[in-house]
Amino acid sequence: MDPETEVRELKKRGPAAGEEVARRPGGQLGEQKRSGPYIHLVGRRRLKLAGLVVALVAAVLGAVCIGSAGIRLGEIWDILIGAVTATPGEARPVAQTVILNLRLPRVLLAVMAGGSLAGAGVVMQGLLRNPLADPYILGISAGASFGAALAVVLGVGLVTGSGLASQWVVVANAFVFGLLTTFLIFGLASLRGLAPETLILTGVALGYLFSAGVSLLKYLSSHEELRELTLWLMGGLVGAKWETLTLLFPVALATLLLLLRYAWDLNALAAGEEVAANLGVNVARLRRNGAVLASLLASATVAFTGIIGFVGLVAPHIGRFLVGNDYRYLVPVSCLLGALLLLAADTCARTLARPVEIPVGIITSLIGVPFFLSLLFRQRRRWWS
Amino acid sequence: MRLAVQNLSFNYPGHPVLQEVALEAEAGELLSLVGPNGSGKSTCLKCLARVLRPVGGAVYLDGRDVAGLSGRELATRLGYVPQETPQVFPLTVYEAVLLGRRPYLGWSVSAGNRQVVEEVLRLLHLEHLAARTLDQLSGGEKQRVALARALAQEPQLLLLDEPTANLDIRHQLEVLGLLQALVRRRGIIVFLVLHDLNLAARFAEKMLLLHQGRVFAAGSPRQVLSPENIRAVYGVEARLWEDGVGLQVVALCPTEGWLPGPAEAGIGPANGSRGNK
Repeated sequence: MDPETEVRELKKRGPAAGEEVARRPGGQLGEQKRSGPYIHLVGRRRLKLAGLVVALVAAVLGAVCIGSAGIRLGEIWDILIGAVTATPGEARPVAQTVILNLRLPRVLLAVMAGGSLAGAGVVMQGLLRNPLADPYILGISAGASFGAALAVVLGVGLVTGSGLASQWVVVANAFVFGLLTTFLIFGLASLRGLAPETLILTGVALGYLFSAGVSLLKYLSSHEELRELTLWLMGGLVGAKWETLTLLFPVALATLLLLLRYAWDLNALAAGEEVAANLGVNVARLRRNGAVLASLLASATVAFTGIIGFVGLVAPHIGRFLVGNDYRYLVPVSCLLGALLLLAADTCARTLARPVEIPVGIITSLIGVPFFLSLLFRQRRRWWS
Repeated sequence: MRLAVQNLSFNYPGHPVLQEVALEAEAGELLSLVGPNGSGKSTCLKCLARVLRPVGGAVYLDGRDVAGLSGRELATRLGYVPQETPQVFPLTVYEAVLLGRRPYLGWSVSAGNRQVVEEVLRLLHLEHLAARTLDQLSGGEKQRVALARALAQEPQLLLLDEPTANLDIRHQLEVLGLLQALVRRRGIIVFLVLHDLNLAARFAEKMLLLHQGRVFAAGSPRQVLSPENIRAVYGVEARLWEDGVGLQVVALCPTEGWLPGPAEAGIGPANGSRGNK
């Protein structure tokens, strides 16, 4: 083709592409598609979200019914309905105590702890843009363990056991040290501009430091202290009380709602820091606020339950399989999945070998790992890369 | 929209990257930024997009300093597409383009916003990929998605870092043609980094040649692309001619330090006048 014809061709092409541009925003497009591809996608996600809510409610009711004390189903319903409507039923007082003071708080703590850990985990993954991130990635587990070890081994009145008071010392210590570690990591990493790699490496480094501290305290501890500390480090929901729930619930709910406000920002961050910045996201502020909130959530949970691993890492990934990577859906879905996972694991933990309890951390790994691996290898799509 | 850049400077610790870069652009102009590797093209674009904060100088949009804009104001005025967009947790194509509507969105996505997204998807021939995730796309498709996201922002200034790098020749022409049309029809400013001097000369009416962080030459492609400038900036002997399509540049060989030896290959500065590539 000689150049002149070529140019004429070109001239034809330019405005042709331009016509399309000029016509926007076209009137027909929006009207013809009441149910566009996006509506379809969102609809399916909402359905899955609703399905998980139903599943969780069913699981809670089911878990309350399962246990070592033989209580008839009818009696349990009587007690639950009586508790809700505040009318004393005909149930035996013993059964009432077991259900209302033991099983129900424990089941609800499993739901709250699982949901909080998964919520904190999914946000950490998004903030650090790292599929390996979990709620503990910024040193919370190491810091909280060290705090708990300090309280158990060196704390006042622990061995002589003034029961309740000493338990709160451990809780408070674990919480404060967990959160302090996050602040420390942020303080150090901000010297180098808060890149995710810096944050993660600082977290890992400080983790080693704190675990050395825990080892030292273990070495110095007496038999009884060691046992108490080991149990705490394994994590578990044995100590569930209504007080625990009333302390944890408002914290968990508030932080989760605040974190949910960052959903669009997290979506934008998934496209890279530069793109997020261009979309109006203040990346440094998002990282700081998001990580502090997620750490607060995780620390509060860990303080009451000890270190429960795996849930906070895996629930978000199962969530990604289910609803994709839009954090508006992913955060609530992850929370629900985390709650379901931990509830299932804890119910197994307290019933499989009754009357002996198996530490829940062992169950989460025994059941969770094969389940997760099967998902991982069966999935055609990859929700991270 | 009017873009004015004054005395823009930027350093990485220890060495200056940009020095006193100045430029101006009016609505309806398509500008290209060319220069060798490491000349500061990407850095310049990032400073314009406020991804990097310049050490000195300022960028003005309609007389307003970009540094003083809120995130939302920035996002609705200026769209930036970096060379690569890493995707750790891939979104679907639709969602990736929808991100461009973030500055206009509250929590949920209204019909109007969906309409803009669908329009942009159509414009870039991405409709059939809408439900795919980004990790399933080819490099060129990803690049078009990134451009679509920026277009969905409906900006008045588009800053594109090598928008054609991963595209085949047909998509190169389509994307550049589309940008040209956008500039003409909507009166936006498009400022793009290009490596391909021929494409730059053909599609951009204004050109900036960057050399070691400074504007070496600016003006129309004819003014900027001379054998002398190309030799000084790229260290390459080039032959230029003009035909109906535009200014054509053929790089012949490095001016010096070319290992096989120009004479052996039968071309080079000494016998370049023989004119056989």
